[in-house]
Amino acid sequence: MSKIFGFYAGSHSASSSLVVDGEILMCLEEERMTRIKAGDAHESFPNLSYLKIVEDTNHSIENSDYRIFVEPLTESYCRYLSNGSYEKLSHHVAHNYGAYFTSGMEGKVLSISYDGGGESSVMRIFLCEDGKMNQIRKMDFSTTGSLSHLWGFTTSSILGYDENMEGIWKMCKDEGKLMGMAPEGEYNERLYKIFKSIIKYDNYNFYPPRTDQKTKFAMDSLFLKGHFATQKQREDVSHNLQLVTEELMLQFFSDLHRDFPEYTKICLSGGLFANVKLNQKINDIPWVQELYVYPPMGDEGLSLGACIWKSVQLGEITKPLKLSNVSFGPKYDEQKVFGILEEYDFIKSDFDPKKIAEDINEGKIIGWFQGGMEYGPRALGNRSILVRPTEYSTHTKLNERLGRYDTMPFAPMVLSDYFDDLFTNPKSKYSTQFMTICYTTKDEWIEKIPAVIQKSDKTARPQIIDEDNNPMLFELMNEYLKVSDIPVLLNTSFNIHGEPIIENPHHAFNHLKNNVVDKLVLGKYVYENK
Amino acid sequence: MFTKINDIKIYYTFDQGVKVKVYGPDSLYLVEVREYLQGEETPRCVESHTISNTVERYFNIFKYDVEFFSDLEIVVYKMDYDYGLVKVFSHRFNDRDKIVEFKLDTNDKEEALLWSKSVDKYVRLHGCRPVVKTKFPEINKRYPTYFERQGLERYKTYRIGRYPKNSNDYKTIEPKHEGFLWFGGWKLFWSYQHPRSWSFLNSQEIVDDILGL
Repeated sequence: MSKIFGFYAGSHSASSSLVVDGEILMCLEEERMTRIKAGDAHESFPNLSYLKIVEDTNHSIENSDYRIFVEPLTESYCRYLSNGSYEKLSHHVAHNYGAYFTSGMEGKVLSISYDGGGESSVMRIFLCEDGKMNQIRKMDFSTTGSLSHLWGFTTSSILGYDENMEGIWKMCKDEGKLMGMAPEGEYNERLYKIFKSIIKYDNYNFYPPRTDQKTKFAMDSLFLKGHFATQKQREDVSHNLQLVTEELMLQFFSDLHRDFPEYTKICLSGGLFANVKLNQKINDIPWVQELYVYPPMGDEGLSLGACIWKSVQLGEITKPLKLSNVSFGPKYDEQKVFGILEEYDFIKSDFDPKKIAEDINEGKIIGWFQGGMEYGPRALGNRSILVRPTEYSTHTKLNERLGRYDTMPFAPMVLSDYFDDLFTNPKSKYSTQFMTICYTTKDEWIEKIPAVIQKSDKTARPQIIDEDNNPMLFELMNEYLKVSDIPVLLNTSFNIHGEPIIENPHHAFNHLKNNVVDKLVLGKYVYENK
Repeated sequence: MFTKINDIKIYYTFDQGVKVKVYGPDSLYLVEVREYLQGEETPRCVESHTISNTVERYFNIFKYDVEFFSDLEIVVYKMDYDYGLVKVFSHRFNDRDKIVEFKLDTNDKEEALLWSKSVDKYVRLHGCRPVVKTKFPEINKRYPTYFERQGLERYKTYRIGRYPKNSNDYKTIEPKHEGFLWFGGWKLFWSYQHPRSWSFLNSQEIVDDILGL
């Protein structure tokens, strides 16, 4: 029996994970503990997340067998945290092990990681089969460009800079907002050519290198010339960036299929694949049989990847796991909640799914706090806000409550039996448990659930809910179905804009107190303000 | 060195690290340093950033503090708003017939002599005009002094010695604890076999490393 700690430290998205005897016990991002979003802390260390794991599991460095740190790393910190004994693991190896060994995929699988750079590479490709991974390509930072750079530096330039010369929007944090704007924009030949002058693709080679500085230069030049002055201009920038991204990546996948036609299952990791619209294009490729996107696809997922890598080495994980959820974060039992609740003064009642379903149907905004916190960027029904999807006005109301931007689409939770009724592509349902792929909505549903559909391209980012992966939510959604005839709920992460997803009951109670939500369902009870 | 391309003036040097300044009608210019590794025809980009003489948040000079030999190339881009990035200038390191200074920083005469032999080899290979300075007059006098005059610009200066790195290291490595050879920037991952820990190198390896022999 091996106790393995994995850490990602010293860069953005620090995290800690613990795997014992091949079982994932706990994974936690540092931002959830420090309450500073990963994109706002580019040199973070997983001190608090590690201590939380120690507190919740009683496992610590002292009684662990292996301590794995993912590159890039800071040697002095590794020595400090591990008492001097640790192993290093390549950034992209950790990405790929995390992805493949949680994909649940059997047979031949292609695993691809792509991001803005970890250690010396931006991308690696593995051929996988029966629990064996064989690296076939490694694209070096010095010779390879990265589409992630285009997104990161466009994000940080597009709204200009603050008094500290930092982008108003931040890379590794606000790319999703930029992506959300893309369908609203239009093709613009000049913008398209500018992006294509920064990065090109030919036969596995994204070039030229140093796309980070080239993008920054190009975007800052555009900014200074006033090309980002209006929302329409920014939407056009986003649209053309998305277009170039999809075009190059589809060429890349076409080359992969040319050379490895027997590999029709794909798993993806790395920050680029946080782009759910790109993932949709990949999932729509006819030869792709199944797509899986690692739920913590960004660098926050590296610590688990490290633990899995070691577990595979030790023979404690031998084939890809199929996850029923990614609720690997802290849990709070009734006793803990009771202690916290003493500081607040709420009306408390028993949870009645029928009553909450009626509240949702009436337009109430429900905070939903259950079980272990999600690992990765998405709230998947344990730290979520639930709202009816049937009114577009909900969008505005929620934006006001959460301080969000209008262009960011909200996501639907869908009862599993209804998924094929709503969406055109039936593939890759396992990945939709983790809300990592967009789908095109069937026309007849667009007017029924307008609050969770991106109007301009009819896409949504659905999460499948079934009895196994979230029984309590499944029950609530069935009650909502009875009162509304809609098998969908709007789900957004339980946090206000700029704040990481909430971690503990204090955070939830505070948001209730501040009227961010109308009611809070926490465990088996419902709380509301007096 | 100085060159003018249409209405863009470019000053550049490899001496004591690469430095580039650009004066022209555009607000921003992108400067890139690439490196040709031995046996490779396609250069690798090692450093790149935007400079400006008019926009405050940018430096007005490009610097890359590499002082050992590297087959480097300087590239300058401007922005064309119809086509994107356009290359306006490039220059690949070539010290033939140019003045190159070698500072042999050692108190050991035998070591200085050994290093001077490698300097001679470098001069033969590159065809440059050497200025050699050591702490030993009998070695110095083996080299001509007419390039030492004030005002004669060095194309490149090599400082050969054992230098601890004490700042500007990339956070993921701690070369200051390792005693690396003189190097600049954080792109140690691919740059011409550098840096290597001098703790494990003999005198010959140190000079050959720095001069790329």
